[in-house]
Amino acid sequence: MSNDFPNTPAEGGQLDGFSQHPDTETLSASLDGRLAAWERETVAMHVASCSDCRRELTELRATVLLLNDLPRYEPRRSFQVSPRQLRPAPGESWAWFTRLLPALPALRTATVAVAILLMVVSAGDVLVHRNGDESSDTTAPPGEVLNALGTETVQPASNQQADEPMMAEQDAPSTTSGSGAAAAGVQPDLDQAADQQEGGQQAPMAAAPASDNAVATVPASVERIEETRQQTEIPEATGQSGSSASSARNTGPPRTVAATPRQRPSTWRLTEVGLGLILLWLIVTVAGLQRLRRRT
Amino acid sequence: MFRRRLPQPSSSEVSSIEGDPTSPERIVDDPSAVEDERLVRAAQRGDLGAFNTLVVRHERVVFNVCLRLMRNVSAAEDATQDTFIRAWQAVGSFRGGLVRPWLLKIATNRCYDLLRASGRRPSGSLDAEAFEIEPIWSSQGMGDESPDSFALREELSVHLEHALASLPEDQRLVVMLSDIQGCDYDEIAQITGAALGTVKSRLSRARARLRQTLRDDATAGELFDRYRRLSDK
Repeated sequence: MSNDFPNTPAEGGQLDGFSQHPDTETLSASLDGRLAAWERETVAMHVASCSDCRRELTELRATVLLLNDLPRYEPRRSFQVSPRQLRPAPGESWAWFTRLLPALPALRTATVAVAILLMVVSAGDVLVHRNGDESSDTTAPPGEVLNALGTETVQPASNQQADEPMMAEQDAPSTTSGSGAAAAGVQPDLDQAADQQEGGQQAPMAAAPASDNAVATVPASVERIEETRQQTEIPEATGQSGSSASSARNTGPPRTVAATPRQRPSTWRLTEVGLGLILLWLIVTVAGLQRLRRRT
Repeated sequence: MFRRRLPQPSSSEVSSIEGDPTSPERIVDDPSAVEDERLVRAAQRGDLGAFNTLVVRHERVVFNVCLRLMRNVSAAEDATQDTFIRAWQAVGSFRGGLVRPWLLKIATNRCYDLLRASGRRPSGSLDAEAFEIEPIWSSQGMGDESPDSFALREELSVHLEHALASLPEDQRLVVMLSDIQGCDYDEIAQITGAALGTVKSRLSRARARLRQTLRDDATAGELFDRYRRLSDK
């Protein structure tokens, strides 16, 4: 390379005093005319006085000439493109993919936007979930209620895990059993209060099967329980602030499950899954398009 | 006696050693590149006829590169056809510049894809897969070469093809593009995606290795010496 020459005209070097052998890369570049004028002159002067370098240069030149003169091959047919060739073959539907190439920058931006949106939605889900847990710690085991709904299970606090099933067993009316009992028999005191308000409506609900009917009836019953609770002013709940989870856990009062936290997570979750799928598609598409663009 | 195609440097060329291969000045200087550019613009507007004119202008060089990489005529034909179909599909994203390196980049990528898919090493032994079509020698019919020197060159070319096949993949591609297809350093850098300095060093190593391979073989060495003396005159 040109940098291999120690004394350049710019450095005040003497061309006729040059004695270092140029390397193969310099000799090769000189054959291609890729040296600056002063380098060419330096090489020419050195080669004129060095038989080894002269031989190497002539052999390299002969090799290049031989390569230059290797035969070419005439194609047997033309490679002009016909409209028929441009139609995707059956089972090959990749042609559409190349049409997305001009949209690559927009797709990149969309990927970032969807990723941010997904993070925001996930954060919102976590916050709402946490708030929901705090505000919902007022009645019976949420796990049982949610099992009855056929949705997710909310684990009770650790210090209540042992107590609550026992309470449910002790307090639940004998008519309630299985998952359907969870909604009706979670809190006998409240049931009694509700019975006072609404007469015999509680019994059919308690006896309702756990599956579909439970989904429809339980939220309504919980709302009624909440109303009843407020009207009857149950003594156990009066000493506590409405949504304080910590105090509720410490004193261990019976808990209720608010309707909203049980309904919202499904919407959040669906949004997250939807955004996740869109993000996945965008990532795969952008990666594919980038690869395609590198190749073309 | 020998047709010399070694590039003759011009002052502008030397000064543009590190220049942009797709600079507008280069295109304006070359009428062929200007015509290519016009055809590409027409193709970008959906003119398949203009694109096919471009195909006719470049199909030989693309086919020869594919043939030397694939070492099989049918596979090279498929790769060449794929190259032009892909070029048509991607012509909308062509951002200007020289068309030949753009096409050769698609062609080399396509060949390597096909070779990878078939699990074959590029440019395998010529013994197993001789080309099935007649070669066109550069000096044929020109009447400026003696029968002896033509015979010598033909014999040496067989040894040289073997030596080429033994080169590492990156060096073989560079020497093929430079010394067989006549691409300059800038075009090669664009095709291979390598830096200009890398192209220079790969090319010099490839040439030195080819020279050494020819010299190491007793028969080829003797022929090479005769050829060198003839070409030196």
